[in-house]
Amino acid sequence: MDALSISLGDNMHLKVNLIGRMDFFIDNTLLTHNLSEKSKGLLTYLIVNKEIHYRKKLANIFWTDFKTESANRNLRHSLWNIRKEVKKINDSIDIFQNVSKTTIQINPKITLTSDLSTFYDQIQKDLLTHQEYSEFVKVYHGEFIENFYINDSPEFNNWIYYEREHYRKDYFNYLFSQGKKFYSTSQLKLAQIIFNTLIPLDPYNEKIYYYLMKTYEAAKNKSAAIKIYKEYKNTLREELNISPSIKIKSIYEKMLSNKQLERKATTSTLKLSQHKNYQMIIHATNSEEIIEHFKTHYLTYAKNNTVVELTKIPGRRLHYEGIFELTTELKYLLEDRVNTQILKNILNQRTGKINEYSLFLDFKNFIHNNISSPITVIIYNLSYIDEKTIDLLSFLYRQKSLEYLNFIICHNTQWSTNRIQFLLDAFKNENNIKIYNY
Amino acid sequence: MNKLLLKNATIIDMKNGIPQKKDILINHSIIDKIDESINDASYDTLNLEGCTIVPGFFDSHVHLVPTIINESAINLSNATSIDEILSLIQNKREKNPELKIILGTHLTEFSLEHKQLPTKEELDTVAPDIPVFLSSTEFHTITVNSFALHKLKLPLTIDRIIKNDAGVPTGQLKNEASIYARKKMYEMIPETYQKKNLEIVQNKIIKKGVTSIIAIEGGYLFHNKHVDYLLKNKNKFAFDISILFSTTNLQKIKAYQLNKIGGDIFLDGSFASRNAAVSKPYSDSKNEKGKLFFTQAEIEELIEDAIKSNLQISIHAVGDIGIEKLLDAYETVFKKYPTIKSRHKIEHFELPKDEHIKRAGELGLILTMHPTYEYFFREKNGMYENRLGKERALQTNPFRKIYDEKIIVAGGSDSNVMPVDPLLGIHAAVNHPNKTSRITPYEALQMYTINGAYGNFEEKTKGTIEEGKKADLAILSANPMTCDPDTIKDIDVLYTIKNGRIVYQSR
Repeated sequence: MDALSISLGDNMHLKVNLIGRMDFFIDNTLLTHNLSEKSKGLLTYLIVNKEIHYRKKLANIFWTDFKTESANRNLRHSLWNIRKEVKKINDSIDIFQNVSKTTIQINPKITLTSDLSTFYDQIQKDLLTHQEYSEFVKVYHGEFIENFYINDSPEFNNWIYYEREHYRKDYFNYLFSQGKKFYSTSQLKLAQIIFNTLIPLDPYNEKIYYYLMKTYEAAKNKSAAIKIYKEYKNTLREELNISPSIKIKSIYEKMLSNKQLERKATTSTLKLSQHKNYQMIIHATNSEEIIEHFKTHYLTYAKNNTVVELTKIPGRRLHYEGIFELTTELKYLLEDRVNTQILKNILNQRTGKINEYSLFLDFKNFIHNNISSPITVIIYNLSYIDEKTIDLLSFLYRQKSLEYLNFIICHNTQWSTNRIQFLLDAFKNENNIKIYNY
Repeated sequence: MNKLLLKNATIIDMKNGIPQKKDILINHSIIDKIDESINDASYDTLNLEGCTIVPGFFDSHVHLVPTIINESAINLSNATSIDEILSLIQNKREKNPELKIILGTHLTEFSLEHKQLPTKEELDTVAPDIPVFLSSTEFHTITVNSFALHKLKLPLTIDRIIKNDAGVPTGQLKNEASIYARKKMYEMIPETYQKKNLEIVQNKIIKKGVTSIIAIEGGYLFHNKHVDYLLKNKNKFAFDISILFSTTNLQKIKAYQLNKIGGDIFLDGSFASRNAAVSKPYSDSKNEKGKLFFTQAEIEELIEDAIKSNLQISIHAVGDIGIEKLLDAYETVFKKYPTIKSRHKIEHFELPKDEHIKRAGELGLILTMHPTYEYFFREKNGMYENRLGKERALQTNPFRKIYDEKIIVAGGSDSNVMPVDPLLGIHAAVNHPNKTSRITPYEALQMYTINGAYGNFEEKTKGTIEEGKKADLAILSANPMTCDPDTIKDIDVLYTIKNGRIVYQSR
């Protein structure tokens, strides 16, 4: 990736790599190997801090324990040496500018490109694609002048330490914010990649694991979320002998509990699809996730089997609406096999006055006369069903009509009504009906 | 030497508590015959008139690899000023110019002028170009120079890097940062250090009559690579090494095919760090009562998982609250698995209450204890008294009460914190500063012989002097059962015999 131009000068191009291994190029010719460690450090310091510097201060930073005169002499020599090596490649312009006798700075007239500038340009923008992410992490492929250290320049070493921490934080904070952005916009794969990238950088930082777990959860991969928690817990225990916070632990426990319920639910579902002994099966739970799980499962089931689906579209049904919806769905399913007169009797009541008992009897006769082998009715959300339709379910059971229509019902107990609860209580001990509570 | 006859010595066989004058015939690695008078000219013979033979000592708690590494470290316990520390480092470097890392141990600001630890800049003056790591006794704080700090690459959010008013790290790392730095320190130590020091440490250990140790390695205070090192090298040692891996990760135990887990899995901390969990505040810090590093559910889960995996488990508990919580956990799990084979352990058990001792006995737990603590921590104004106060300090390591409950106590040195020296341990248990906690020399000998072997499921081959058992023996200059108790620590080990072979002799 090309670095950004810092200056407008065109007589010399100084290109520097300060992330990872340190390298300097003058007009694409490598300069690094010709410089002493102190000169490399000095050049880095002046490039990162482009302002004007007092020579005395620079001498003190790099030759801390030297006498003033000696330190100044060493600084002069180091600057002379850098100039000499640069001039061997390009002598059209001085790499430094002596603002006064006592000060110096990198010559603002030269063209300077730096991977640090590229890095900071990038973090002003949002990442949009995996490609952009890959390119960005290539820019920050190591630490600031990685492993560079000058034995007898403690102040300079402190500066490096500070800078390294600073860039690492900026890299971390930027990627973390991008990960959260991808999480909130449901670009979950990218969010996962980013959060996983951050773990080695800050291996005990709970925030990363928290978001990674949430991301996996959102991607309906609870197993991965649970695995991440366990890895985090294990890392903390093995390396610091501490436990995860209550916050992340409670998220894990909730996921684990839902996972167990889901497993139970899945087992029940499988049993259900094979089990023909029950005429009505009700899955009751207060977990949105389990309801969602059932919905997903039965939607798939419905695609491959002849079934009638009710409450696929959300919304509480009006009185009797569920009965008419069921009748209409059956009509489409049975097509030309339907006895039209009974069907008319039922559907005509949609616009006229309803005689409830007569309607229920007509419905019973309709299914007795038209259905030869049992049809499965899936109700995705029992609380969307109106009370009269629930009464019909009860009526059909008493009339032994569930031999013709089997019901699979999902019920979110958070939305339970007295009528639904009455149904559940009344049927809980019936042999032909199975109620699973999760 | 395949055949050896030991003549005219007093034998404490650790079977009946009665010293007897008998001869021992060793054939290859086994005790072939024990009798009142054996004569066989075909055997090499040692006339041990006036000497006492005991089973080879069993040290049940040694951090072996850190002990080996620390052989190269500078002991800073006697340093009284920063200048002295710098001078010790400088001397070390001058004498060992090949050193790639400087390690120091037992650094405490309380012994230093102005009660201040050195800064990284001060350390830089004598070691600007190689890493320096100076550890406090209890590993709570580590002080590093600039070079080490740069190499550490401390994680962004780790607690706690001490910084000066200008926000610059001073080189002192505490808590999690200290633990992290220790790990990195171990990674920076070249294996050549271990190689170089192995023989020195081995000689020091066999010189003390030790023929078997339990090496407690890995875990959060040390490094898991030490387990790999020992697995690879344990046959190079002159004594038996049984590895106890201080991990909570059962998968690792299974991968290494070990039959036990734990050792220094810290349920609580130490008195020195004031993080051993105690019911009443520390005497020298009224707001501190230590801490538990595990929730009750976590420790129970760990014990249960170990038991289900048929592993012997051993957990560190020091303070009365730590001990109580661990007993609760064992009790809960044992109730669920009433038929389990026991021999599970508590390491340290320093400040139990009477009811804890009773419960430990009822649960059939084995205790690994360190009598030398009573020798080193007990001086006036010493660590025990400082941290616990006079009255409570008298309650530490109550061996008498524990023995009265018929609990099996295995003795451990806790090296590298304390020296490997079973006779010193026996001395300390017999001469416990609290007279009501003293045990007899024979009981103290049990800790370092048969009890150690039993705790490690080796009582059929080790721990007593019997025909058919391994010829692991320590030959002493005096009888610890009959000598003046005050002089037990001065008894010399004359010979150490391992598998029938003399691996050490003093004269």
